[in-house]
Amino acid sequence: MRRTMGTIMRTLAALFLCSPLGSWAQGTGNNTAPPPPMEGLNPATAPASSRTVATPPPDGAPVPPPEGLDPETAPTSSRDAMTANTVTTAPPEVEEVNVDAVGSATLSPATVFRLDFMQRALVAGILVGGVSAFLGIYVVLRRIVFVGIALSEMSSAGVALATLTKIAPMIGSVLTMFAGVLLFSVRWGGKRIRQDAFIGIGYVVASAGAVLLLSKSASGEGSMMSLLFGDILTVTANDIWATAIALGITLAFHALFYKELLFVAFDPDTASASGYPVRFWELALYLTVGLTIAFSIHAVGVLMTFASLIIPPVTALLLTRRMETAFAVAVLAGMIPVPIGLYVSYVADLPSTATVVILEFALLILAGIASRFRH
Amino acid sequence: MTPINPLPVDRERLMTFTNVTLGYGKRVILQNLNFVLRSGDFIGIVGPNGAGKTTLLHAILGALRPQSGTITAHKPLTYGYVPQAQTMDDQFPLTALDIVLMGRYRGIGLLRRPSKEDRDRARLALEQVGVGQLTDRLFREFSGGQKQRTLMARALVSDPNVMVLDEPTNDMDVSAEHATMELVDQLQSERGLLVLMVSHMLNVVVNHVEQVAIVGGGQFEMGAVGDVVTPETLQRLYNLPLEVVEVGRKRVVL
Repeated sequence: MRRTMGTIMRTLAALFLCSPLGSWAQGTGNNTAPPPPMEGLNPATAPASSRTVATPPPDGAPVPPPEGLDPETAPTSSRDAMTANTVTTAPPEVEEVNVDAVGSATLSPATVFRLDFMQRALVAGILVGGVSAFLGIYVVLRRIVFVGIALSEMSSAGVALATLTKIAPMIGSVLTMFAGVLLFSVRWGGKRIRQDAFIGIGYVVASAGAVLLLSKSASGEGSMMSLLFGDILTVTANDIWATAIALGITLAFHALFYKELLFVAFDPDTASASGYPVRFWELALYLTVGLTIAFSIHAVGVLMTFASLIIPPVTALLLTRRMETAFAVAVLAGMIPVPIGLYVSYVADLPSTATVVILEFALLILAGIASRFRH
Repeated sequence: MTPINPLPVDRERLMTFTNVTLGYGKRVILQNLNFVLRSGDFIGIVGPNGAGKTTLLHAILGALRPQSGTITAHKPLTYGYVPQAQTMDDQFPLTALDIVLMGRYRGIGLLRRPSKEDRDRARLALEQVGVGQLTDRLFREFSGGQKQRTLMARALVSDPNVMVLDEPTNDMDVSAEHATMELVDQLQSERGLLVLMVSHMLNVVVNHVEQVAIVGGGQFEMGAVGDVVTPETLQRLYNLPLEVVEVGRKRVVL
């Protein structure tokens, strides 16, 4: 088994070296660093090959985080990530491997998730998928789906601003998210113009702002794609910690104030008559949703963040008849597609977050069918 | 100046409006309001759309400060608010018990979960309004009358001294309307609550409340049903030639 895995990884490495990125990594591009190391490779047992490929560092050191990676070449699929992750860190060792073994082996989940970057992607995806789905129950029930996408776009604009001004992306993301929450909580048009019009304006202006800001960045298009589809495969341990802390605070807040948030969400008029500061609790809900979005898009991109905020909650609400079970099922429906999606995307060489989103949708379709039959 | 309502003065005073002007921003909706609300009063608030009924209600509930004048609460007031059943969001998968428990939340306080006693009180309240068998059923699957009773149970479970009903019989058939109003009458007389009922249904109001507050055209008038609901008032209020006639023991507005 170990021998097979080693062969497969060598084969993947060989394929990488045939690619333009491989040439770049070998020194024909801007970077003169030699090709990447890959975990799981066993040079001692590898068959001979007519091609030159990389071998892992002698000490078996883990693949380091991807800071410094040119966004133009930012990976969207697992195999891209594997190569990209290793480009800047490869030791100057090369070895001959047999590429004829390509396609004859299957990659087990255990093999795939033994890779460091896949493990980090798994943790980040499960965190974001689960917490976004939890909060998404409120987003769907309160009919503030548009607020979700608008805040996502505001956070993206914040990341773009941070890229240009060289501040930490998460700081930029959180700052613009706060601005978005405050803007959306003011009734600019009184009763003459509905609030959703202003939320829509916030969305398009944030989108345009992000494009303009990134047009001034050396890596504009790559950064835009990175914002949209995310860098789940290049997420670092620090990103995961920061996201876990922010999402942990959000979850703790919701656990502690569940009854207040539920009452205000369901029946704000009666909550107000009972003495609850409705505006405060609504703002708290928006802020927790915004905080989750701001940290999540940095890890997994706008697409998966927004999808996790909407699709799993709808799946849960189709399947369940109790509030508590709706939250639980939404969290599961947000988490389950992550390992499956990451694995499928790795094996089929597909963009990871897009695969996860499609799997979330597949679950929704199944839930819809089940719901139709039940009724 | 509007008259101080002359009805029973032996009841405990709960709230006094003195020269109160209400409105939003610079816009004045109602002015020169002078009246007393007492424990055990059953007051109907009627008037055309946009006349200021909701504004008055918000002021009574403490959600709107007067532009001028004073509103004095003579004791701590606990409100049981019963919103229109059809305005409730049917997307939420909440049971009757979940909804009635919300009436206990304020008393439970922050950072605490409802106790067994809270749940028992909620179940009892549902039984008292006649829907005890629906405790664990989904609210969104109820009829209009069942929803209204559940919302009344939620109002009662907080042990209020003021109950506010917003259009309690809207969109109900005659049978459900009758049953709902019988329940309101019963709760009001048994518990000695101050009950304020906003309604468009003049025929419901004149047959159940003891006082009427008429709001319309910037005017406010409050008093016993027989004194206030007259053809002249109704003509001024609705610009229609309406009459109040007695059929058996019932009043009918035609």
